[in-house]
Amino acid sequence: MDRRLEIELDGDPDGCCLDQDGGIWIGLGKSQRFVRVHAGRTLQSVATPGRKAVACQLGGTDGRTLYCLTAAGEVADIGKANLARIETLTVVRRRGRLSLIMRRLYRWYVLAVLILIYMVNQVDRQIVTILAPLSEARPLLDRRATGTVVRTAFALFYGVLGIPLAKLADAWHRVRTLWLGLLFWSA
Amino acid sequence: MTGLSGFATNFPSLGVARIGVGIGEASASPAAISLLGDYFERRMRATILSLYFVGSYLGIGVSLVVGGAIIAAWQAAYPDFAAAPLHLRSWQAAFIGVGLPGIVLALLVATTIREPETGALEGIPQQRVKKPLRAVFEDIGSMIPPWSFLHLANKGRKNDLLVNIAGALAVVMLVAVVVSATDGLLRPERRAVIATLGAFSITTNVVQWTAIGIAVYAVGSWLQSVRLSDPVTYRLTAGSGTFRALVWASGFLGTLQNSLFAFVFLYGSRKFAFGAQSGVLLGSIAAAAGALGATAGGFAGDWAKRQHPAGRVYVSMAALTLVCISSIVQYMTGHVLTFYVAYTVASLFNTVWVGCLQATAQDLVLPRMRGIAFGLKSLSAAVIGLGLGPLPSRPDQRCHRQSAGGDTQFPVERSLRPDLPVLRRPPSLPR
Repeated sequence: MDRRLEIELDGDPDGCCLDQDGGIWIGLGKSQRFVRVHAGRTLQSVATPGRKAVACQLGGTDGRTLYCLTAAGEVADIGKANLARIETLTVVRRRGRLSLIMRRLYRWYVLAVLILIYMVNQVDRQIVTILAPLSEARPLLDRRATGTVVRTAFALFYGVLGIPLAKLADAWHRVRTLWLGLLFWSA
Repeated sequence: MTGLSGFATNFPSLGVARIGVGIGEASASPAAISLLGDYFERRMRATILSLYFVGSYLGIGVSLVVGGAIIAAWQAAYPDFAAAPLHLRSWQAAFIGVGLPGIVLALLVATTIREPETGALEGIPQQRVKKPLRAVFEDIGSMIPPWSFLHLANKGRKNDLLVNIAGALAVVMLVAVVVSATDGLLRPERRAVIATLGAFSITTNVVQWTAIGIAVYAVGSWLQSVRLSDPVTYRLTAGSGTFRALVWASGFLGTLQNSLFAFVFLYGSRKFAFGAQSGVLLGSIAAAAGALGATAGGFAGDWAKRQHPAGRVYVSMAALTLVCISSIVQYMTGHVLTFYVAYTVASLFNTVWVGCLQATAQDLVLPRMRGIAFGLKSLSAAVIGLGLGPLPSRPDQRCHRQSAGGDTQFPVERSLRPDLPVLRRPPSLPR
């Protein structure tokens, strides 16, 4: 069996439930609070003053309503009337501050890399035009009639094959399509 | 394929490598735009896409600087190419040099970029296609006869097959008619013969119109097949009047953008006797104002979208009206400063639509169709560009290349490389 320690807790934790983001809400009993832990760290906490935090469950249409079962009194009081209560509260999606910042920054990193790729895309397209006037390259690059043929073929393949290649990205895997394509045209 | 171009020894091998570059590059933007749709919220779409398209302005500038730098450095280090590593000439080194960063970037993408779940951010999870590669090959097949016929015979009704075959015949006839009509209009030097097939000579004119014919048939046939296999995609893209209007608009606007700026230096050098220095200025203005206009246009579009559902389209329309007005001023004035100011205004507003219209197209489709939506849009630009390509081309080789190359390149290239052959003035244009 693959055992892994998720988190160590003090006190007398009781019921728990999972949320959509991979976090766990735990009732901490006598500590009188429900906490949300994720990746070994406590990220959110809801106090239940004067009442033991017994069990919890997420529900509601969007899974954001936390149903909290709390109880007043001591263990010995179990069975007495009107001590338990279920309250609901809406929990907002919150991640650790650092992971939140990293997440925000990460997508800008993705954008930066994609801009760079588009730049390289354009450079590789333009480079022939820049090299063609060179006297030593002219016999190979600067042929008007055949140049037209290559340009036309380039536009035709770029445009028409763009549709199945777009389908490849949409249906298969965008990151893989991107780097394989980049490797192919750069190499 | 770019790196391999450096090892090409004859024209056919170089041509094949260039076509390889075209195929590879066609895969990049659909994937990138679909990814961005899952990393950034819908409400900032025009801003993000505008920033992405700024990459192309950077690319034009970088290609000039880096290309020139590699050539200069290589020629300085190895005056005799026989002494150079692998006996590479400077142009070969330049091909290899611009290919290398792509390989590094590919590794960076493969190792550091995560594939997000399509549609998760918008709350529209998408069903995964079970056999994606098969779907891709079916798409390619649906563009090429006889597979396109077989495909429709199997899946479609009798009518679909008949329409397809009739369409194919109509395209062949139209190409023949257009070729014979335009061949008469072009001077012989503008329809150079590339090869002869029996008594029939294949000219550049024939090649260009055939390519357009192939593209038109391929897309029409693909649309027919999509209509049967994925009616939702069909209805949201080609079946939607809004989407069709966007595709035509951006195709024509892209062509307009290129042609409007392709001859600005030529015009300036004739009317105001511009020299190389003014070329640098024109090129820098086009690049800086273009990038700025695209970025600001994205912000403005997203802001306007919050005010009104069609806000991005209104922003594009307003910007293009300004382009028209300032272009009229620019080409009517005899005053140099007015010319520059009008040119700057036109350059600034001429890129505003790029992110706005792309974002509008993306808003119209489901997350799983983002790549296709982009593909259809850029295809129209390619086909319209192909069609209009032969018209502005002149026997003057330099003009011809510029019209195909794009906006900022011409002035910048002239200024960086004063050794270029002097421009021959086409006699038909008044001085």
